[in-house]
Amino acid sequence: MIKIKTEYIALYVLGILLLLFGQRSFWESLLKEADDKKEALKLRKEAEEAFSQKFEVQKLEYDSVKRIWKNNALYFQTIHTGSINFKALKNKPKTVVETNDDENASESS
Amino acid sequence: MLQKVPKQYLAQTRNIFHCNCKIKIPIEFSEELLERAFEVLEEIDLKYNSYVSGSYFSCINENRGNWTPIDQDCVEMIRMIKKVSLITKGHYDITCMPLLQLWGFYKENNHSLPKKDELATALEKVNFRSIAIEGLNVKIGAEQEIITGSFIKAFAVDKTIAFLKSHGVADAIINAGGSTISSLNDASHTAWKINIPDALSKDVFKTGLQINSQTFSLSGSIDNNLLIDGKKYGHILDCITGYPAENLQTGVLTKSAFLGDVLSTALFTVPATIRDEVIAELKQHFDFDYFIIDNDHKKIVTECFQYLR
Repeated sequence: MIKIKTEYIALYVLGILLLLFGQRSFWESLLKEADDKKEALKLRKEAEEAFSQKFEVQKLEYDSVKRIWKNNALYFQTIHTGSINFKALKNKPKTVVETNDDENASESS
Repeated sequence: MLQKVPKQYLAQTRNIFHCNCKIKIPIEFSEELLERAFEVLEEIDLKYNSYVSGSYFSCINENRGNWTPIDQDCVEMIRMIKKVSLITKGHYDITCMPLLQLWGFYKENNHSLPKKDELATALEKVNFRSIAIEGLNVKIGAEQEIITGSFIKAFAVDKTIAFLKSHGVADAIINAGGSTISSLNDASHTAWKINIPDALSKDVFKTGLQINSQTFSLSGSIDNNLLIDGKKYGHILDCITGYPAENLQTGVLTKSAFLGDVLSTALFTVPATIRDEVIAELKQHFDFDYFIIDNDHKKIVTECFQYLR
């Protein structure tokens, strides 16, 4: 029968433990992998929930006088406005009526 | 005795080119036409103003040292300006941005007189001769920057006047910041009266100027200057010395607003020593009337500004 001294066994176990957990990066990658799995699971659950919900239904009403379909619910629509000079439109000043009075020159600009 | 009813106009004022621009057209025209006239001013601002990102002149500056594609209007503006700069022997130069930055005209505070070596370094970058044009391409020096402040507003005024004329307007006025006033006149209203501020006191006006389908351009430094150690330094720089030009006020009367603003600023930069020679040469190329009030309060005026004497 082979006899192994207790201190050798203890040293061997210590060596294994240091090999596994003594490397910080190994421990961190293990934790990161667990977090990633958890996050992926959460996202999948959210996606499944969103997919299982029904689409919003908006009721269109027909205006027989104007002969158009109307949507009374609030909705958004993309409109292509073309090249509008918005800078020229903002803070639109008031047009006034003046006479042919004198104009003052200035050095200010 | 019956009094004549004054003619009525639609007038609107908007802040464009960092100043108040007013357009007046006869009341029989629509407000929509007035709006469209402002859009012309706005479009020129977006397309050419060196301070507007994406404009032609802004692209030229950003692309300094390399060729930049531009349009025909840009080419014509630069050609005309280079001609005036050449006649003024470089005292007027649109590549003066490094000098303006050195003086601190774009800083809120901490103003001090530039040191001589700093001025010399900035002056090396200022040279209109380095603006190269080839077809519809332009290139400036690798350390240069063009500033459109002395001409772009007037160019926009010319375009707006042309727009109004093309829509049948024959009597109108555009007052762009007070320093560029351009008019259209017909038989129903033969002239617009312009009041010119005193060179030393901006609240005192001199009456007597009348413009008839012309532009009056005014340059001075009473409103735009730096206060350094108790002394005022004007914003119009003499690009040969690097120091503010030594004049109090210049006014020019022309057919074109663009030419008027360029000449008004150019005359302001010219020192008394070469003034007569420069004016004589400018007169050979361009049709204009003018007045100059220099630092010694000496007034040099042509016929239509005699009343200022």
